Amino acid sequence: MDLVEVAKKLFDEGVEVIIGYQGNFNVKPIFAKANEVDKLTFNPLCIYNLTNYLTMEGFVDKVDKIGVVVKGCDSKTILQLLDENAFSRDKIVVIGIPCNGVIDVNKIVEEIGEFREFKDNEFKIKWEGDELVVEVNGKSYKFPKDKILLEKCKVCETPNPVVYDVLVGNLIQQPHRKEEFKAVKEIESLSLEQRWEFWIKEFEKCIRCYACRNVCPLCYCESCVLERLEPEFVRRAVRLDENIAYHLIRAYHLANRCVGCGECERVCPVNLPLSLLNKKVAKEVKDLGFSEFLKPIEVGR
Amino acid sequence: MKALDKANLDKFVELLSEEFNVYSITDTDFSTDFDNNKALEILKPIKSAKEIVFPQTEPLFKFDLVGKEIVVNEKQNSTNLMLWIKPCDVRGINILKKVFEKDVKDVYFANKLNNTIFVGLACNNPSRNCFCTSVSITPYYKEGMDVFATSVNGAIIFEALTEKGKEVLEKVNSLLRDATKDEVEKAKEIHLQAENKVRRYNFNTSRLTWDSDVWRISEICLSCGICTYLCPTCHCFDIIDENYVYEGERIRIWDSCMYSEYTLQASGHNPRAYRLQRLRNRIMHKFVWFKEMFDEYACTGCGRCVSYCPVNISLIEILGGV
Repeated sequence: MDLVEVAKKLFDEGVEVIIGYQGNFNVKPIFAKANEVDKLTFNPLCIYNLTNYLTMEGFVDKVDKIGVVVKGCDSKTILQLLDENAFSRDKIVVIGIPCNGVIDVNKIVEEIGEFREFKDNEFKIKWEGDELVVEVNGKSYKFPKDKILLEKCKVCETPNPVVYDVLVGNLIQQPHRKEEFKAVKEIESLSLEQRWEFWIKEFEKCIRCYACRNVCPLCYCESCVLERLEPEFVRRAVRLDENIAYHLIRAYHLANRCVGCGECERVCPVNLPLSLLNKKVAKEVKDLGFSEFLKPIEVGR
Repeated sequence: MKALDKANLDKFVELLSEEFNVYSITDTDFSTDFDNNKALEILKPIKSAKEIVFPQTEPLFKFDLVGKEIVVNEKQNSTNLMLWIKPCDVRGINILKKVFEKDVKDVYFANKLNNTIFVGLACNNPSRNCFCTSVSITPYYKEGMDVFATSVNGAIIFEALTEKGKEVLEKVNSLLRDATKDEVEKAKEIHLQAENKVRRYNFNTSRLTWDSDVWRISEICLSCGICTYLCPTCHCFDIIDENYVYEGERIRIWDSCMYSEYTLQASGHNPRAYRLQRLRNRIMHKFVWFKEMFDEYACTGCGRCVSYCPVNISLIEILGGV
């Protein structure tokens, strides 16, 4: 069954809203109601981690049954959220999609080199083996996977959802990969002074738009420490010292919780290497002897 | 009109730096530490130019516990020169000027603006998210600039628009020559080419009503501050005292109407508690209420909010321009 058929069936079974993706070129999240079921799509531009919306503005409490579309990486968030009792399991219908990797749309535009936005109906994009095939108005472009894939997908350990109620498509057979913390080890090999220099140069750029916090599916505290005025843990001034405080607080709060979906790094307008920071903490936690966050797989209802 | 051969670009910047704090374009922002050749090529930095006249964090004055003195942040005396600022960013500053000088002149803003010279550059390579021509400016809009430049093949040709601008060109006169007729013609051609390249939309602001369906897009909004902080015309700020043990400082910082905390009242009541209310407020302010007050949109068409929105919410779509 394809995604739309699955969604139709779920709506018939009483799901009120499905949080999914819409669009071919202009991909964005959608809160689809039953009459919008045809809008739901999935393609290699579906980059967002939709589980973030489950905890936003108490959404999960307002609706009886919510469907949510997840890729392998996003599905890990569901496990972590369930582990933290963020919501009850039977409110959520997880629609799992095995994923061959996702792509930044800007990269496609750059590669095609055409100056315009493509209409959704003239644009097609899909994986064919190790190649990405893009069709625009009958013209077809092919890109090798290694060249175009997002960095996080190159080291993806879980192309298949680790938790789902319905699966769309077939499970992907992929040689078992393991996160080796390559980038972290690289930076660890530098001297203390060099590391400090590296990080202050990055944190200086931060504009404190809090997009990294807001896009993080695991940053869902009702009252965030950053919004406190009495006591003011982090000053409002956008300066290096306060920026460092902000990012370290976030990194620590995500210790052993971050699932590495990489959304924080993706959305950062000034390109801070936030995944590197989170991975560093993840590595420390692992080295301390804590198990990896993943709990035994809970499949089906 | 005068022209500068690009071979002399380094000397040109050097000469200007003798007298001014020269800021120019880097990938991220306007900075004094820029690459002469690259600055000429980059379309626009991620952050807009508003930071130069309206910094994100601006100390207003300092006080301390021991003495009884209050030290007002000193007026800046040296002059900033914004090299190659693009029409959309200058337009942004023109719009800010209307706000900050409406009834009471904001002295901090006015002081910075008076101390800044704008050497603008016509935009010759608009990006796919640019839409300046739909909000009534062009890639060769000059208002607010002191010197207007156009990059033509191996040269840059200059037009002084104000007294300040004339002084700047006087300063580098030794490097300049008269522009040839061909170059002047070519510049006009480049202007029109760029103008045609920018996608033009017919915005329909009458659809922006209080209970319109367009606000449903707020379902996916993350309520982060990217669109407001990168916007060249967003100008909301907060004033706060930052106290250390024996001293403190009153600062002005950017605020963002997309944060729920923005309208949170001391009572605990929040008139804009939901993302829908906040998104609606931002767009209606720019395209309805600002228009009522100043008879123009608070938007320069730079496209930053479209390019950097984490969930691909497009202002163009909201305004019905497809």
